[in-house]
Amino acid sequence: MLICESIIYGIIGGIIGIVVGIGIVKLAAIGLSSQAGGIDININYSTNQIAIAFIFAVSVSTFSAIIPIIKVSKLSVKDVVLNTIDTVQRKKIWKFILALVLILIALILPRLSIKGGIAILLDLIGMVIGTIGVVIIVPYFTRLFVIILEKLYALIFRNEGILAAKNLRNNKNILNNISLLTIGISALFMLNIVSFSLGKELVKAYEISKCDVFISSNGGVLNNDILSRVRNTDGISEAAGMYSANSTKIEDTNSNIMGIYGYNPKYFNDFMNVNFLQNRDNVLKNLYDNREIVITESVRQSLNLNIGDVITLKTANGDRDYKISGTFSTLMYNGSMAIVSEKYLKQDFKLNQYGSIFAATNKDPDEVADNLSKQFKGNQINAISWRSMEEQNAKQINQMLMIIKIFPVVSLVIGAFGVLNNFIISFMERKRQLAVLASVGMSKIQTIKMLFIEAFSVGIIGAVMGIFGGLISTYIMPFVLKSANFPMPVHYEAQIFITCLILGMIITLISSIIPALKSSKLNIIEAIKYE
Amino acid sequence: MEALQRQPDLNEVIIEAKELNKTYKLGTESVDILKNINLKIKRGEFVSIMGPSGSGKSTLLYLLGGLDKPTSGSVKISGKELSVMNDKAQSIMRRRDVGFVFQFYNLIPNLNVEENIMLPILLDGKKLKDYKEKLENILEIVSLKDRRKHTPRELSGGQQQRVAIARALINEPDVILADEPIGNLDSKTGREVMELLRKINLENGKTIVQVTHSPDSAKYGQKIIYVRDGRVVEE
Repeated sequence: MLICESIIYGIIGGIIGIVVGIGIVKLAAIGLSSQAGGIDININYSTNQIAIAFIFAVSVSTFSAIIPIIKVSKLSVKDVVLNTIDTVQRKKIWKFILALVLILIALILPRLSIKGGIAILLDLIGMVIGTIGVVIIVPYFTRLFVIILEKLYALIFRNEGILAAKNLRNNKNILNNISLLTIGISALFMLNIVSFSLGKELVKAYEISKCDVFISSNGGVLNNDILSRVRNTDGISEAAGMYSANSTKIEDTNSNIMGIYGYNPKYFNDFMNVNFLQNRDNVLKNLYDNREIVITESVRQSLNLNIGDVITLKTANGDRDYKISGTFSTLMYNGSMAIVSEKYLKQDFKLNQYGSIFAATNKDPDEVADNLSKQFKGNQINAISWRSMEEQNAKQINQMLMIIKIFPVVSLVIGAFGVLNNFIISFMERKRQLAVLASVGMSKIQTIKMLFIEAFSVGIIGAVMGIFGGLISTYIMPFVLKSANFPMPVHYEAQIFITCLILGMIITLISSIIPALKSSKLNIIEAIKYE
Repeated sequence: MEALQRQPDLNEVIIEAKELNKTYKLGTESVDILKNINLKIKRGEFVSIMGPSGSGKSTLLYLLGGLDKPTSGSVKISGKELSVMNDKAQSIMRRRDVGFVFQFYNLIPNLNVEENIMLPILLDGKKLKDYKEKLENILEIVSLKDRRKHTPRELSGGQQQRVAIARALINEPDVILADEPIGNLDSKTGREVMELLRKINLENGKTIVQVTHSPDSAKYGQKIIYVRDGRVVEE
C-alpha cells in the first residue's frame, strides 16, 4: 500500500513538475529574449525528454520511500498505538566515519590524473559523493554548533535562545531542514563561484592585448594601405598589423588551435601582453627566425606535450613542423591559441593581408574608434575600442551566466518549500511539547521568539554546511574544467559567502512564520492530549 | 528543600472558583462539561478530585490552573483573578504560583533531567547558576541526583514523574496541580510518588490538588471532592 502511495505521489509530482518546468523554461526564454534585444528564442522539448522526466519522478518517489517503508514495517504495533516511537535522532559513529571517508574520496578522486572523458565523470561523481558526505556529517556538526550557539544566545537572546539552541539537538525534522538547506546552498554557492570565476577569467583574457583600438575585417581587406590610413587618423599614436590564422588542425590529433598569431619583434611587445610561463626572453629569442611555436598551457596539457616536442600543423602550404619553445596562459580563444614567427605564418598559411590591426591612441579610444568606423564604412572594416569590446563581452558573459545562476536559485526555492513543509510537520509533532512549555509558564511571545531563534539557527547552520559542501565542489571544479579542456582557476568573492548565509536565514525565518502563528493560537489542553 | 520561612495560614483560601461553567462546542451541539462549580481550597490542603470518566474533573483542574478558560465564572489563585490576566501574566502565574504534574509526565525529550527541572527558572529569565543550590535540594528530595544528566527516555516511569514533580516545585509555587499523577505507574511506584507528594504537602506546606480515579491515592489527601455530570456533588 505504501509503495503504491509513493508511486501515485511520483505520478502526480511528475505531471505537475513537467508542466511547471516547461513554464519556467518558457519564462526564462522570454526573459532572455528581451535581454537579447527581442530575438525569438524557441524552446524545444521532445516526448522522450518528457517521458524521461516523468519516469525519473516516479522512480525517485518510489525508491526514496523504500528505506522509510522498511523502517516503518519494523515498528511494533504497541509502540505505534501508545505513541512511544523514538523520534530522537541517535548518532552512530560509523556514519561519521563514513562521511569523512566520502569527503576524502571526493577530494582525492580528481587528483588521480586520469585522462579522457572518464575523468570528468569521476570528478562529477566526486562532487556528488562530497555533498553526500557533508549531508551525513550534518548532525555531528549541528551538535558542535549547538554548544557554540548556546553560549552565544545566552548573551544575545537570553534564556529563550538557550532553550532554542537545546531544541536543535537530535531533532530529526530540524536536522532534515539543515540537510535540505545544505544541499540547496551548496549548489548555489558552487555555481555562483564558478560563474564569478568564469566572468573574471574571461574578462582577464582581454589583458592579453595592450591596444586601445582593435580593427578587424568584416569582409574587407586589411592591407598596408588601410594600415597607413589608420596611422594617419587623428588620435592614433601607433598602429601595427597582426597576421593570424584561425582554426588550424594539429596533425595526428583531433584538436585545432583556434587562433595563431604572428610574432614580429618590432611591434609585438608594444601591443601584446602575453603571460609567458617561462622566461620571456628565452621563449622569444629564436622565435622569429625559426619554426618554433609558443602554445597555451591548456593546449599543452590537453595534448600531453612538453617543451621541445614537435607538432605538425596543417597549413595552406602542407604539413609543417613547429617545435614548442614555450607556453603561456590565456582564456582568449577559450585557451586555444598559439604564437609563431610572422615570417613563417605568412609563408605557410599564404597570408597576404593582416588578420587585424592593433592601434594605440592619444585621444579617447571610443571617439577614435568611432572616427575610424566612419572612415572605413564602405570598406567592410570594423573598428572598436578594446575597452568597449571588453565591456560587450562582459555583458554577454553575464547574460550567459544568468542562465547558469537561475538553476540553483530554482533548486533553492524548491528546497525552501521542503523546509517549510518540514517546519510545519515539526510544529505538528511538537504541539504537545509546546503545550507543555506553555503549562510551565512559557508565554506566546516567548514561544514565537524561541521558534524564530530555532529557525534562524537552522538557517545559519544550513548555510555554513552548504558553504562547506560548496567549497568541496569548487575545489573539484577546476579539475572538471581542466578535463573539459577549459582550465580555469577558481576565484572566491566575499559577497557570495554573505549571500548564502543571508539566504539560508531568510528561507528558514520565512518558513517559520506559519508555525509561529499557529503556536500563538495553540489550545494548551488539546495540544497536551495531541498524539 | 528549605522549609518555608512563614507558617501557612491554614484559613487562607488559596484557590477559589465561583460559579464556574465550561461548555464545549462539538459541531453544532454544545456540551456543558462544568455547571456552576463553587469551590474553595485552603492553603496547605491536599485535595483529591474524584469522579467517573467524563465528569469534568480534569477540566476543573485545568481551569483552576489557568490552562483553560471558563465559559463563565471566575477562578482566583492567591487572590489573583485569572480571567483579567493577559497571556504574559498568566504565564508568569504558571511559572511562579502554580506547578503542574501530568499523567504522562510531559517532559521535554531532548532536555536532560536538570534541564527539564530548571525550565520554569529558565522561562522566568533568571540565571541558572543562581539556582544551583536549589536544584541540588530538589534533586535530593526526588532522589534523582545520580540521573541528572539523563534524558527522559533513559528513565523509568516513576523517575520521569519525579522529574515532573521536581519541575513543578523548583520555583516554589504555592499550588501543585496534578492530573492523575500515578495513572501511568505501577502500584509500587505510584505509592512512592504519592508519598513524595504527601511529604511536600506536610513538610513544605504546599497546597496540592490532584485528579484521580484511585481511592488509594485519594487517601493521601485530607479532602475529597466528588464531581459528577459537571457538578460538585460531595466534599
